[in-house]
Amino acid sequence: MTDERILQLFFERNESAIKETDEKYGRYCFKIADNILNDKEDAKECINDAYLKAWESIPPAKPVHFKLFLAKIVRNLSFNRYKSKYADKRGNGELALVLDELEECIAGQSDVEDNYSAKELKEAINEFVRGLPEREGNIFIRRYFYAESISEIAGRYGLSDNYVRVMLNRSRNKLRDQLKKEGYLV
Amino acid sequence: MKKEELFEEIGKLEDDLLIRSEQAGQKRRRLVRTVAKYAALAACFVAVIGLGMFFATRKDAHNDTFGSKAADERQDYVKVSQLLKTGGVHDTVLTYKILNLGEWEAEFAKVPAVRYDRLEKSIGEAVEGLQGWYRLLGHEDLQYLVLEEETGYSLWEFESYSAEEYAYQEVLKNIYGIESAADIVKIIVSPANMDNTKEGKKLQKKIGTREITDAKEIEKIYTVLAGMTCYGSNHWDLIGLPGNSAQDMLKQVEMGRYLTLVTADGTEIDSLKYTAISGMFYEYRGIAYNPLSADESDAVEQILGIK
Repeated sequence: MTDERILQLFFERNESAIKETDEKYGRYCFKIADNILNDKEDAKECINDAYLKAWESIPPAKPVHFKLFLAKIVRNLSFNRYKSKYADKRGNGELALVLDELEECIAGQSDVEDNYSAKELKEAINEFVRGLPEREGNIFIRRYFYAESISEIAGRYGLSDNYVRVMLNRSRNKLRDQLKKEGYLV
Repeated sequence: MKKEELFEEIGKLEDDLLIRSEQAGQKRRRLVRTVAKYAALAACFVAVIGLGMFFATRKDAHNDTFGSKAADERQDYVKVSQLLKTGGVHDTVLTYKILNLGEWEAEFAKVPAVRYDRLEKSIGEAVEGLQGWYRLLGHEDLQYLVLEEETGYSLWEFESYSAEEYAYQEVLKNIYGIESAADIVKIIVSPANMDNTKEGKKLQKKIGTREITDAKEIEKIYTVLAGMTCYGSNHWDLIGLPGNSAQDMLKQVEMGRYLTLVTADGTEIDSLKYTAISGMFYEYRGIAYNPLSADESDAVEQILGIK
């Protein structure tokens, strides 16, 4: 079923919208949730919560890219669950590694008081990814948006694991420099 | 800022970027199917252009070593530069062969512009386990090999191992016969010559060619090279050279150097290039190595004379 038709079901308040969404994007959403939570039961619950959230949002929302609309909801809900599950302790799975890597970009800044707006930071990050060479940007997104493993990314783009590691390392250095340059880091 | 906040902000990436990251993988899978159809044709086309650039680049490096009287006088040792034709147009395809060299498979590229009258008199010892393959006369290294076929002899040059990654030390040792810094007597450092505009040539002239003979400096370069990991060919994006604008090209010249390692037995290895732009060594065909650490790149750039 096309996305347009599924959205039409949401607008008609037809509950089969959830079933059709799950049929088309269930696996995709599960993958994102499982990458973050590394727990199949938790991932399933997050997906159900995401469907509910979509049901509550559409209408009035009418997403242009329904798949990505779902991806962002699933990512947010999964990460919130991850945070509450692992409050004050290190989690496990791929996301723990992803967060450790991101920490390199803000090394020594965790305790510094923030005085920037989230909106500006969002724009800075979008601009940063746009400024990367396309392949490097794509690898960055697969790792830090989708929390995919190094070998998954390597397989997706036909690269070696080490190549992906080097690219990510380079991107993190660039991000750290840019955040510093734009005053997000002291 | 906390790492969790940074992860959350990355979650707000715009849709077109996310779509691009998905489509790139799909494009690649489609491409693999399509490329098979046109691979042969594309290879011929790329080869004609690529080889023109290859030999235009190499000619300069070899010119520095031509006329070396001591080597010419040695009847039992062939200098590769004596076998290569310089100038002229060489209309040929880029041909590769994969040879099984003990525990490694290695890619060798056919050298097209060869003085065949000299080549047939330059055959050295047979390569163990490879029927029809010979070293050059007087050589123990495997940098260049001669293939004997019914149609005659041809010359082949080592390009890289056929592996996703490998230690460059393996190449130094197995292909070039360099087992320690003591095996290198000299390193010739030439300016990067990708910019042939008036300004580019002026800058190349200003940089000039220099020779490193100090044992400590050679030791440092060897240590860095021996510790590198090679990721094979077609990794230009990993090498990270900037674009083709006039300013970018000048920057590549300013920050780049080409190296020729000269060994005690006269072997010249002129494939390594260095760029301080990304702090790494690379080679023709986009053969990429790991970026050096800050300490390594500082030391290398000081020795190579890159400010």
